[in-house]
Amino acid sequence: MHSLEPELRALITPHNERAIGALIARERRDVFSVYPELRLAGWLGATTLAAAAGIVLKDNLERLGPIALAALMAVAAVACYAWTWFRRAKASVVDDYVLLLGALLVSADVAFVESQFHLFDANWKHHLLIVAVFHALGAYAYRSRMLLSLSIVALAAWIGFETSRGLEGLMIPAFATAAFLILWREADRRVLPATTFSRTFEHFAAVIALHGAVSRIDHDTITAGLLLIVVAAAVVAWGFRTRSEPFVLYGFVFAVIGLDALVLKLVDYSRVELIILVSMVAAVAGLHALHARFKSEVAR
Amino acid sequence: MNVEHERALRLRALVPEAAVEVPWRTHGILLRIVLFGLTLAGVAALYFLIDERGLITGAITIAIAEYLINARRWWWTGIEEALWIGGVFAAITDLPESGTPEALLVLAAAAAIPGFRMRNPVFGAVAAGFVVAYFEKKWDLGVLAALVLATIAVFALLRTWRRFSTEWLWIALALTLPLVGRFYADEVWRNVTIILYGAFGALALFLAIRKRHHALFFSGALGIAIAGIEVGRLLAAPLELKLAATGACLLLGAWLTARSLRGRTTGIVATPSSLTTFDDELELAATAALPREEFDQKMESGGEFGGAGATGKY
Repeated sequence: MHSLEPELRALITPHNERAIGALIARERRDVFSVYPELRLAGWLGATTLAAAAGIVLKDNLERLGPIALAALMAVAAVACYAWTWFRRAKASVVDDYVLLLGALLVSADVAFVESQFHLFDANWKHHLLIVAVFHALGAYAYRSRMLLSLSIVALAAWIGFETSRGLEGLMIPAFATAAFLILWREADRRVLPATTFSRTFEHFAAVIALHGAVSRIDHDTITAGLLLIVVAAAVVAWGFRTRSEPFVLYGFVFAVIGLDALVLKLVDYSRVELIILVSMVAAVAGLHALHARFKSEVAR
Repeated sequence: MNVEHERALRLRALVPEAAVEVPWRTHGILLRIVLFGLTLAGVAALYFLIDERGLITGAITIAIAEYLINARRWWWTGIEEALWIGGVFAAITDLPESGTPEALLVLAAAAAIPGFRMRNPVFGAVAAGFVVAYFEKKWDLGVLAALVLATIAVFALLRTWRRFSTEWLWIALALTLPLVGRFYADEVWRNVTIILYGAFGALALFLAIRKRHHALFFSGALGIAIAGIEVGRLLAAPLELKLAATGACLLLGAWLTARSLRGRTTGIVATPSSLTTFDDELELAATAALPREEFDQKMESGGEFGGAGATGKY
């Protein structure tokens, strides 16, 4: 146990009595929220059930047949969506994960139907677009960022950004996905300002664009390195503009990767340790300076 | 950093408007991790640059770390921590290789010394991991050693510690050691493993409810989960049934708990709170990573079918 109760008591004034009192109650464990534990249990429960559903689809094809299996999954998914919808007024933290389970079942079911009935035939990838649109609609209907992230992943895969298939040919799909997400974010911000999706779009767009640029660095180091530095600089600038330090940090790390790749391409490989050492010292100093500037801008 | 400074640092995080002064330069966890990684890469580059002379590398980096701590008042910036642990691990590469289990104790000391100097709980947990590995290699008692150390950590968390770095050391041990021990669980000792992990999990959960500590809840849940996985291996039921039963229990248990705590404002409650400032982002990242983790399964018909992201190939 660790308690700051004595220090907190010393800070009490008539103006902050209530706020400090709440903190003291938390330090004393008079009020102890198990919300994080419930979230983790709900998330693990939903994903474990979805994994079980995946195995059911895989292993029971001959026994039950594709139509029965697809219908079974659809009914289960509808039940999850309906449960969450009708409990909106008295929703608990766990309802979000029942919704997640429903979404995962839909994804699995759509892919299963396509694999069995070949509805799109050679254009089989279009089923990913259906999944993306369905989850996007669900995200807006339920105001769920988890469904939004599933939608973005499906959309990226439809466009062709799938890191699980290796780095080859990722750059163009990555930039296309990032551009689409930026447009989507802008439309979301203007049309539905009440949603809280902007930051999710921003993080996905930044990470996908950075991955896209880094994916070409082995093949075309100069171009990809320069592109990576430009994208990373844009991400850092976005971090400053939105006062969100994570963008600054991962933008900076990718910029260092791009810069090192360029330098290593242009100089003698026998000095690689010296280059890395100098670059890391410079990176640490640079990040310190950037952090100090970020803090001063936030304080302004 | 002395006790008062540590407490002031946490107080500043808890009540930013109080403007508590801390005479040290420290960083938040994300920046600290990035700086740690960059500095460690620099230490590795220095080590290879001077022809793998570990003692010289260690002397240089530890000297710089101590300069940063004592002259520049840097603490928990990630830089001096990487310099310290990188330096000590570089230095021990100059020791002759013995190949004996005792070499693991040297590695444990190499993590524990910077851990103690920097009051870094992760280094402490790494050191404990090497001690567990030593017990496994020497006497085939890895699981027992891990659970004994984890139990000590669990009981230590019942005490009130003045430094939160000490508290975090016990938290790190209580959370990591059950997992480390799991790697050394032999099939022939499965029943003993189940009993030990089940007992540890039940004890930690009991204490968690009594003392209301998140780390105890998570540690207890880990113990029960590992015991449950081992029990599952004994059962002949199909995998999907075991997964479905586990998932349903977790979801239903969470729902019933949330329901029973609805409206409560004191004691154990279910009101929104977070463990870190990145809880939401971590959850979204884990959810986005799900398709590849859980659903890229070969279909018997020769294709793949996707789940959340529905990555498909037929």
